[in-house]
Amino acid sequence: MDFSPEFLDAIMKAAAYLGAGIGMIAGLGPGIGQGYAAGKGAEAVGRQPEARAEIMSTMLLGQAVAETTGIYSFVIALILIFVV
Amino acid sequence: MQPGPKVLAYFLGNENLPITDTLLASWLLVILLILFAYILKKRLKIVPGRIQAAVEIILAFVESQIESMLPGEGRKFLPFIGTIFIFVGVSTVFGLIPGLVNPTGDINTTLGMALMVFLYSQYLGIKRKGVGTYIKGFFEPIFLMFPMNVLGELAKPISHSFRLFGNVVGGGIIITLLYQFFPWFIPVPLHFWFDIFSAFIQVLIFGMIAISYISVAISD
Amino acid sequence: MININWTLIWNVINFFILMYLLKRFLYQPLLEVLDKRTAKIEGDLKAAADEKEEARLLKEQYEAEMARAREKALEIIAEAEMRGKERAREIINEAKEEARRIREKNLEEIQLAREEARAQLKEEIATISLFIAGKYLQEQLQKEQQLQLIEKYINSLDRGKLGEV
Repeated sequence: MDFSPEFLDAIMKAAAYLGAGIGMIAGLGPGIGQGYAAGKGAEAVGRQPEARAEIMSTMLLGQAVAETTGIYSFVIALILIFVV
Repeated sequence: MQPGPKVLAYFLGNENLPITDTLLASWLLVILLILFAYILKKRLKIVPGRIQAAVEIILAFVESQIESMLPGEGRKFLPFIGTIFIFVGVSTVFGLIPGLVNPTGDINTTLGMALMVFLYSQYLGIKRKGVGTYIKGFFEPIFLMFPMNVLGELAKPISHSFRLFGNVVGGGIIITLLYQFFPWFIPVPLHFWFDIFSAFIQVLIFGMIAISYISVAISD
Repeated sequence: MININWTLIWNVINFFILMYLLKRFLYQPLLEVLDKRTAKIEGDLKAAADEKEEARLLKEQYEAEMARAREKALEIIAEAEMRGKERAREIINEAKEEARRIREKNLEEIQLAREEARAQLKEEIATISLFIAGKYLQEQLQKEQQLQLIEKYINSLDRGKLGEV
């Protein structure tokens, strides 16, 4: 079976875009993690309203670290879209 | 649409030495920061003015962050960590100036800094613990963990740099897409979120993680 | 978009230049200023505390002196009162003494006067007796006359001379 180079290129592009989209499912993980952290943060603020600033900064830090996996998938999606 | 650094010229016509817009932006930024520091130094007073007070607050904040993880060594690490905070912080909002780009929107910038932090922390680990203890650290808790430990250590600069890069570029891409859909005003408030709030949190994280890598490396 | 190249090294060099120059222009001078300010504030606070302590000591001293002065004043007043009372008693005693002396003197004078009067009286009585005797001798011749005379005289004597004494 013979395919023209244009067709192969199109198939590759399609696969890359599909891969990028599937890869972004990893966005679930940080979403759940950050939501959990935010919930715990709200609980902590409810328990200790005077420590609000401290809790907020700790929560944001933890959330940003939890975001790492999402960022990885995002970078991979970027590579798939723009580089492949 | 092609996000990422654009090659503007080649250094001495060499294909391996590109000069990108992010590199130019970071040069400009370094020059501006040095000028600012020089002018500030000339005007340092015992009773601080507004700018001096702001700079003092920033440096005191950085020092307190270092002190919280490396007790008693805030002064020693202030130049390194403080420069990371200042450079990354300013370069993350640098793209807000029209015609300029974020130097941190280039993986070379963030990876360079992450590698620097990585090498510095490994150097400090060897210096403080001794070569034997340092190498032994890779075989703990058992011998079989050696590859995992090495991988874990090598993953540090990668996650460190890609986190900041991904956030900056991601924010930039979303803003660019929005500008394509709504060319007027609507994307403007989003700059506050993506380019200022989120960026500052990422800068804070970048600096804090640099401190914690050093602290982990030199602690037993 | 993600291609790692030599700009990484450029950025690292950038960073080191920035770090070195910021260290020279920002961190060291700023930390120096911060240290200086800390030292100044500490010095000021210490000086203020010292001054306060000094003032406290001075106040204590003053208060002690004041208390001493008050005590002394009270002492002086008490002494003066005591002396005054003593003096008053002395004056009263003197006055009593004086009064007693005056009375004694008066009594003495009275006694003297009485004795004198008695002596005078005695003398007078003697003179009168002599006179009477003389008269009696003279008037033996005229017995009747004489008797009358004597009676008359005694009568007058009773009324005049003796009544006076």
